[in-house]
Amino acid sequence: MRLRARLALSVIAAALPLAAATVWARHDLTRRRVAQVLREFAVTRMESGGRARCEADPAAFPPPPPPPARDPDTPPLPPPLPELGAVPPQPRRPVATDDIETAFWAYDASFSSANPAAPPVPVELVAAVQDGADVAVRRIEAAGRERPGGFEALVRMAWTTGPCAFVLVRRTGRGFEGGPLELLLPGLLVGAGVLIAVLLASGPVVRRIRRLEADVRRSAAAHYDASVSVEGGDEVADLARAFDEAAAEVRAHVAAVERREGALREFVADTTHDVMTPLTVLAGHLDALRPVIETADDEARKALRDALAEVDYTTSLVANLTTAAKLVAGSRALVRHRLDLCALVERVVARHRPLANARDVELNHATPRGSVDVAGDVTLLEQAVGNIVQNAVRYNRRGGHVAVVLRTDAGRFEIRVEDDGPGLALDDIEHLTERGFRGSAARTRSESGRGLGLDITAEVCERLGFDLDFQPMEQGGLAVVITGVVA
Amino acid sequence: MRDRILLVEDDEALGRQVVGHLEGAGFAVRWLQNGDDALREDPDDYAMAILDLMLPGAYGLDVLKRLRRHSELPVLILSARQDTHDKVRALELGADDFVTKPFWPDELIARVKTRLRRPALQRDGTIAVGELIVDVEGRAARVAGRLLDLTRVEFDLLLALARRPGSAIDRAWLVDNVLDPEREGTERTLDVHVSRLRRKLGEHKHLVQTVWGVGYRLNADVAPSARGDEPPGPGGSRS
Repeated sequence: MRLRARLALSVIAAALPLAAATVWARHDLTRRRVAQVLREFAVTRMESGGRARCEADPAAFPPPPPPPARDPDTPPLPPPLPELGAVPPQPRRPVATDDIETAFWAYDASFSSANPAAPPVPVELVAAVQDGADVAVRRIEAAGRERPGGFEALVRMAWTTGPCAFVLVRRTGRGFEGGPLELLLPGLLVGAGVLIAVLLASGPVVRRIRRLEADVRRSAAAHYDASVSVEGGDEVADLARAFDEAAAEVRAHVAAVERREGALREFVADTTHDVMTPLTVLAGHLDALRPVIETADDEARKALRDALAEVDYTTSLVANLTTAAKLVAGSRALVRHRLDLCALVERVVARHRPLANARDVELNHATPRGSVDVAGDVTLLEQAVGNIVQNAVRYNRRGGHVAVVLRTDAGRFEIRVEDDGPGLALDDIEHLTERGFRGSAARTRSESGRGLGLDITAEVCERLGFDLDFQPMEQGGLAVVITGVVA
Repeated sequence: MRDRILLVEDDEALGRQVVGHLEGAGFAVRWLQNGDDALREDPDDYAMAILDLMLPGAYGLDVLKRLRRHSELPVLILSARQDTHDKVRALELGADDFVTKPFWPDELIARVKTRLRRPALQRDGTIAVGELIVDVEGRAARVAGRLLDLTRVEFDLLLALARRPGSAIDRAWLVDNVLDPEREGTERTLDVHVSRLRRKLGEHKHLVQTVWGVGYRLNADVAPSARGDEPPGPGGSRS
């Protein structure tokens, strides 16, 4: 819920009971005031000769009032009552003052009147005075324009016997109808005024909060490097300062994580370095034994071949593990730079030619003249292409062929690695590339060691936005094709 | 005179091995184990430098910067860290190539030879590859002094191969760039032209080699060489 709506609701929630209590209090006060006024009216009338006239001729009491006064200065209370017995009994006419009319009737202790025009006493008023009240009052609802609303009160006289022990006073007229609803209207108006004032007053606060929100979003987009600019001494400024402090903590935490990650990467790189140099020396020593192989017995020859294969395997294993670590580290470890695919293909071919020579596999390659530049990570892409070439060479037959051809056409490049070996079945390739580079894929040999690192090749191509495709060759063998956009 | 190579590698065992391989391939080698020593060398004394990056004393990239300041000496980086930043930085600073450890001795020698390979002898608009001389301007070719009677496509084919002797040329590239574009030639058409060209070369037909999976290549091994190239490996003729 928005702040303004919440404020409005809060105001309404707080004001409603208050308004209700105020209305009730005013209503109650009005009743009391009306009761007092009507009682005073009745007592005054009865004590100033009314009682004597009533007891003398209860059936004619009270006498009808004179015609309504025209004089605007006429006092609001009814005019003096006519002389006792001067007028025969007839229907009572109300005592009128402007729009207000007052009428009264006398009753004995059993609440019956000798005057046939007197209305029956309302039961609720009877009950109230029987409970001991000196005066009981009730509202008379208006009935259209002809019969305006008002109040009637049953007043107990000081004397408790005779035909006028109780007097019913009825006062009606416009302006004398103030019920709870009429009282509610000004309350509602005041409430609406307060509500509008609150909404207007909340404007600056809402604007400050919105500015704070915009600042926080900007800061978050800038990895919490930008501080928020809301100033002042209010709660919004306190909130801004609290956010700044939290952002500083986030920055410190991220910096610490990055330092740790950097240290770990450095450690992996250094460890790789420490492993790679002696591995190169080992490869050199084994390579030096190759001339001896021709004169050695079968067992020694096999041992040397196996040792060479293990060095080759270990080399690609370490390289693939390093690549997998980079891929796991995510985009942070991925470097995008301009690299020449011609040089990359030359390096990959040069790397695998010794293995190809040892296995009597012909390794050919062709690149366009000049350079073919793409955007990518040279270490990752070289490893990706190397894995394809290595698989093509390693699982070929003696006297087999592998060709690596780089072509460009219409702003796209194609690196095509073809072989005429027994190759891998397409199902196997899908299986190898689908299992993902994480987990055991980079570490464990598949059955017969085939397909080492093809999953890493697939992942690298995806990260760099290149396409990888496997096509079985008509004459047997496999073509693996990487395509992408030239930089 | 043998090409002299400056090797800067701090690892004792590896350094000794690399010196052995390079000398075995016919190069003279000066081996330094410290970056600071390398800073004092005169690049003009060498045909090429091979630099390890993680060195005691001056860092490998600092040595590279110093070498590049006054010299065009080809520099090959030995990189043991699988770190792209190192390679990119080295290439930006002017390194010509890099070899990632661990490497096979043959791999290193191949990279060195590629870097030191002299371009096909081109003088006065002619290209000479062994017994073959291609007159680019005059659009004529001779083999062992005999003028070859070539069609336009045959000459262009021979010229395309002669421009990059020893390198395999992609069959698709030849179809696009050598065959008559108006005749919509195919790879089969190309093979027919190559076959005719070989017939015209007569006893020198081995100059044009078929390369499996790629296309054709002009055999550079028959070219007169002062570098003492090794004979082809057990896999036969390779690119």
